[in-house]
Amino acid sequence: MAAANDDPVVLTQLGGSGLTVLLTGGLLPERGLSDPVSQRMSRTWLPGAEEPVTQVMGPSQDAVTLTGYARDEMAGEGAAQTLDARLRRMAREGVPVRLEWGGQLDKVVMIERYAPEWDDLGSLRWTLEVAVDVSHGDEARPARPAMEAIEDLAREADAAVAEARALLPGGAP
Amino acid sequence: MPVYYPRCLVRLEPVLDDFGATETDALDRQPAIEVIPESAAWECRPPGEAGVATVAIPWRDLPLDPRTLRDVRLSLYVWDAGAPTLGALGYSELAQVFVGFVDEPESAHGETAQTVTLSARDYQGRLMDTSSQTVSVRADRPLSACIRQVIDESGVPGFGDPAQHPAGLGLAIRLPDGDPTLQSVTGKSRWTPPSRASVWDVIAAMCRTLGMRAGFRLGDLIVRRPQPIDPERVKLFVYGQNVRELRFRRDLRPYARKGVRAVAWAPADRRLVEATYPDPPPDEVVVLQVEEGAWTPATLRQRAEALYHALGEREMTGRLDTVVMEDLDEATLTTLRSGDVISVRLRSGDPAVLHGMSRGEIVNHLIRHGVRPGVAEALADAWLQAEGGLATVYAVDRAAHEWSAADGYRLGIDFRSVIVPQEG
Repeated sequence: MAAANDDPVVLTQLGGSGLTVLLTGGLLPERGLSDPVSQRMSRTWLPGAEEPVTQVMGPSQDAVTLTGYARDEMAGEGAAQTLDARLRRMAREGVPVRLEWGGQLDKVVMIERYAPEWDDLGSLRWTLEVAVDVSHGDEARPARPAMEAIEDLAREADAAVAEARALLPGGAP
Repeated sequence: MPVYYPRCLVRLEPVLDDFGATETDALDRQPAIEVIPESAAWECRPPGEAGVATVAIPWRDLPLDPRTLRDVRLSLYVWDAGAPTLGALGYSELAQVFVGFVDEPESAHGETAQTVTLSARDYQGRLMDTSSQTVSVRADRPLSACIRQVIDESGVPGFGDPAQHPAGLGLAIRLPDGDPTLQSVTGKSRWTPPSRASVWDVIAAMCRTLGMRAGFRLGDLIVRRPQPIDPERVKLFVYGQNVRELRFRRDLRPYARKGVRAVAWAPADRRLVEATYPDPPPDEVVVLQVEEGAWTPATLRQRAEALYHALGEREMTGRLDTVVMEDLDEATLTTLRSGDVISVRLRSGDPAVLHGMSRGEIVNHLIRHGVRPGVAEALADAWLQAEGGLATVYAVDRAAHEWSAADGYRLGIDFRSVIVPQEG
């Protein structure tokens, strides 16, 4: 499910002080967030060969970066300073944080860096870099056709069980 | 485009130390632990040397403290998860590349990493470490029974009968060429092993007496007669296609040659035949077993002479490195071991290099570079004649394999041109 434009970004500490930061409306990340993923691979051009030898070792989740601009005139009196205090405390406590954005993003992360820049006491430009520990919904799949075949089999088995249940007296439970 | 998905798994079967709380025999092998390592290296070495493996495992992934280990059997599996031949899971016993016992578990803790490094040798290593306690064996029993007697009497750790020793693994002995008796060659009722020898030395001596060779292939002890080269099993390497780095060495210095004693099994006579070259031999003699056949003293002497000249004059050694997991015939390379036969060719796509050119191309190339036509033709003939005499088939001396989570699979092969038939 994709995130709607007005879905809030929610940061919830899983431990520590149990803080929650809700970024909504004017506090939403100004430039959204970047969520890159890499494939670890080595490519070697053997002498004389017309194609490289590629070894694929598996995907890795790179750091997620959120960038925002909180202004009191958009979010209310004291909003920039409150946001700064909470993000700073989260960064300093160093406990896992759940990062959610609508149905699009749901990850357990560690805050690596929080960088605030003040234009004035009511205007805060901030950057948050987080390392992803657990990514829900977009887990890395083994890059092998055989695994996909097993998943297909599992889906077929599920469908067969559902059909069988439907034939039972009273239909499917 | 060759694309591989190299994967690695380590299986550990530990026996934990109870620090004197119970009798040794009462200790049981713990359930196997399977871990994905950070890196692994395994090397298949020439006969007489045990194969080795080293794996590095993240400390947090190992559910036991390495300091509590008394004994560990280590199996290493490496496979291409994209290969369709290894079953639905992409991993099976076919992927096993090493099995042996850990010699040294080492755990290192620091700011940057916490890693457990396990160094192991294959089963041959443990047999080499254990002194033989056998005084003599009955020569009228099959060879396999004699080998079992030596192992059992010497109490090789970990090799006991699983029915009697909870931590024992037993040992599979395979003799595809038959299970002869020592008496069939010696004619005596008892056979006495060399004194102060290791269990492995005694097994090797028994096999030599029968013109056979012993070697481990993973967990099985294979005893058989030397086999001629099977062209189907020759792995193909071509510099210019599937080789990253290639070196050839040839030692041109004159040196004191060793004599050669060729030993072969003559099945029609049911006896070993020997021939030495030169005759009388110099002080040092290399004993080489050759494949069985209808050898006469004269034909075997010719073979010994050919081996003598090959060793003394024409032996070429080399090394190649590659990152492919299959050769050009799509045979897997992760199980390549010492004694396997490879074909190594040099082909260059560089238009300024003569390798791979036909006679006409060489002549034209030389003429373009100012050589007169008659001289160019003579040079081309000499070049092709010399190149045609070069060996292209080599025996693997050492096969050093590496896998790491960051860089994938690497293979380094030391090879030599003089090929003596190998077991298996």
